[in-house]
Amino acid sequence: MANPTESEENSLRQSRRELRFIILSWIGCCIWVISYCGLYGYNLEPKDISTVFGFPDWAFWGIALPWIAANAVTFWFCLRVLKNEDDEENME
Amino acid sequence: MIENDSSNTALISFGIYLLGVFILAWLSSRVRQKKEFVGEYFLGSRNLGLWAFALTFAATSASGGSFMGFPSLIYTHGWVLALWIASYMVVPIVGMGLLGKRMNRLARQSNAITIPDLIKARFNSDTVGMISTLLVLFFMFFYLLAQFKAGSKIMTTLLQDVVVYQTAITFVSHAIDGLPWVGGAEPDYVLCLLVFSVSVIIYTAFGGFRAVVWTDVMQGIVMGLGVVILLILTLSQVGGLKNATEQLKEMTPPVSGTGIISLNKEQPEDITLPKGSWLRLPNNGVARLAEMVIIKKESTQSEAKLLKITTPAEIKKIDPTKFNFEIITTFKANEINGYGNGRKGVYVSAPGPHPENKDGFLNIWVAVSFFFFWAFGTAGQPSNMVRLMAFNGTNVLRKAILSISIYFTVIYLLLVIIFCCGRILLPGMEIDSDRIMPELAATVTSNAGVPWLAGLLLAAPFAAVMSSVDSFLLMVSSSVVRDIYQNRINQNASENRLKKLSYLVTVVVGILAMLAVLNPPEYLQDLIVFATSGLAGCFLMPILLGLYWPDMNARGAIFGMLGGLGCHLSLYIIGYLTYGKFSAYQLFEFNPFIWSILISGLLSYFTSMASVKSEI
Repeated sequence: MANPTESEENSLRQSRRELRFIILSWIGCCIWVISYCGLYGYNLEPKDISTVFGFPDWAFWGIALPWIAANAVTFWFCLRVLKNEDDEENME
Repeated sequence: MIENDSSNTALISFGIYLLGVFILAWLSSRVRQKKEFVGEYFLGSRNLGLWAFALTFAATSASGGSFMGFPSLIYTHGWVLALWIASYMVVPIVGMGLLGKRMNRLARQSNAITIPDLIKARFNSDTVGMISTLLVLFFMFFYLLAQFKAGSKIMTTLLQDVVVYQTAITFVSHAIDGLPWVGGAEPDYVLCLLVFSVSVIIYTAFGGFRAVVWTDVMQGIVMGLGVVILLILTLSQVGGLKNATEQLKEMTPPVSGTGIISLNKEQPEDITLPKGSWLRLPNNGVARLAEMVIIKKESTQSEAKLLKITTPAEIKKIDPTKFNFEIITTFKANEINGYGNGRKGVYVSAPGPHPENKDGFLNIWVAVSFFFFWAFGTAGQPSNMVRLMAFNGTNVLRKAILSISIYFTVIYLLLVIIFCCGRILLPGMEIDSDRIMPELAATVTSNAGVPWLAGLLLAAPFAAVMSSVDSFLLMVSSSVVRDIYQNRINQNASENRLKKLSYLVTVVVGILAMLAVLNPPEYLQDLIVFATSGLAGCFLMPILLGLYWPDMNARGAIFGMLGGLGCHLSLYIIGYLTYGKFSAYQLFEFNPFIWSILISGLLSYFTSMASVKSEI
């Protein structure tokens, strides 16, 4: 079993990996949502707005779809990126 | 008729709901008897399982605003609210993942029970612990006041047509008449505040953290179920989402103004026209009364605030209210400099209509601010952080993030769909848009022939506000008992003494908050924003750096917290001097929270770096 210092270092290293993933996920979603909605969602005439599954098209491609993608990324994070601590059961 | 049915149902559902809450508080107090008091009372013995952790996090995040203010905004400004709230797609991963694992690990290692406890342990400094205690107390008390007021306001809105409630108001009105401080308050507000506050104080003080978490679970389920049922009923009644969006495209915002209501002859007695009545205008127009109007018996006309409907399809559908006398109404629009007037498509595109702001509801820079604010502001709330200290292992965190990502998708995305459709079913609700949630619940359940179901839907706003208030109340009392009394005044206090003190402080803090809002000061809604962004601005960066950067030290944490506080207060002071009201100055149109985070982070980093170098 890893000694306390080693296990703390391992934990910190792994947590930083997870932190980078989280920040990149936020940046990715922010860029997708803001740029798409900024370009295609503002000051529209009714004739310019079509619907996708009942959503205004800009809201579907710029919000609903990235929302689904963000959920997929969250699932990936939880199942693949977020790791258990080595010493979890001994922490208390 | 619909209002009376829904309000009676609201009273019954509120009664059943309160009963459930008290049963859970009693059960949790039985669990507590077998465990160490302080750790159990303030942190549930640090063993929250998946559903308890996930739903307490979700329910605490969703305050009364999610079910009253947010629907009102969707109704008024349309689909652009999907962009306003879009950051909730990453709130689970950012709000729980950013700090969760590191914070939980440190809390277990240091046996910390409160956030100041944790900060004190990480930086090994009493001064940092004391500053964080004072900051929590300062901001949390404001937050508590605002939530008490919000809870009472929701109750007054939902119960306003119940006969028993009206009788009770008359009684309260006589009771408080002439009393100092309370005498100037509205009696209905005082009655609801008393009922709401006493309920929350009792179950929180009696049950502690575990009761708060268990009731949060119940509240989270009520909220989720309510939204799904409301979606099904609403979509079926507007003919599907596509049909609703096509109708919204053709809508133009109604216009506020004043009108003269004239009778063709004097009436034998005073005439009352209720708020919300529909009146026919010349040229087949239609307007809604935005206030109650009384025409005296010796008079034949009166001035009134009106809301004129401008969408032809809506005008066709509305039947003017029938009276036993003839009236003629004229209308003069207010001068407006807003966005969207007379323009089709504004409800299905950004920036969304706004009656006063010429840039519309949400320009793109404000949208960027909100994308940052919802995600990182949630992560930076001590009431959320304390839950991250209480879960039981990474597996629970993993499953909780997954569950919450689905939960938030259901709640927030569906609320946008529901209340955009609400605009089609209920025109003219701008006169009192905070009532859109109960009105829509009553209308769709009544149309569907299941009026009793309105009770479940109406319990959702109660649940949302209660689940936030109980958490904040316990945060404040834990700061007093653990951080001030146990850590500084009497470190050897017996379990029995701590127990009595915890009950006492929770009750006293609750009563003080209730007394403070009996005669509510102005700008309370702004205080919520002030407290939320202030807490996150002070705590997020010092804690984030403290958890991930070993060189971060006490001096960095002090400068970071005080820098965040200083920036936050400065922007509010400049805002007050610039706009003449309690509002933050929006430097480059960004939310003040962004500047506080930036200043706090930079000060934390550079001060810590400077200390490290000087030690070398």
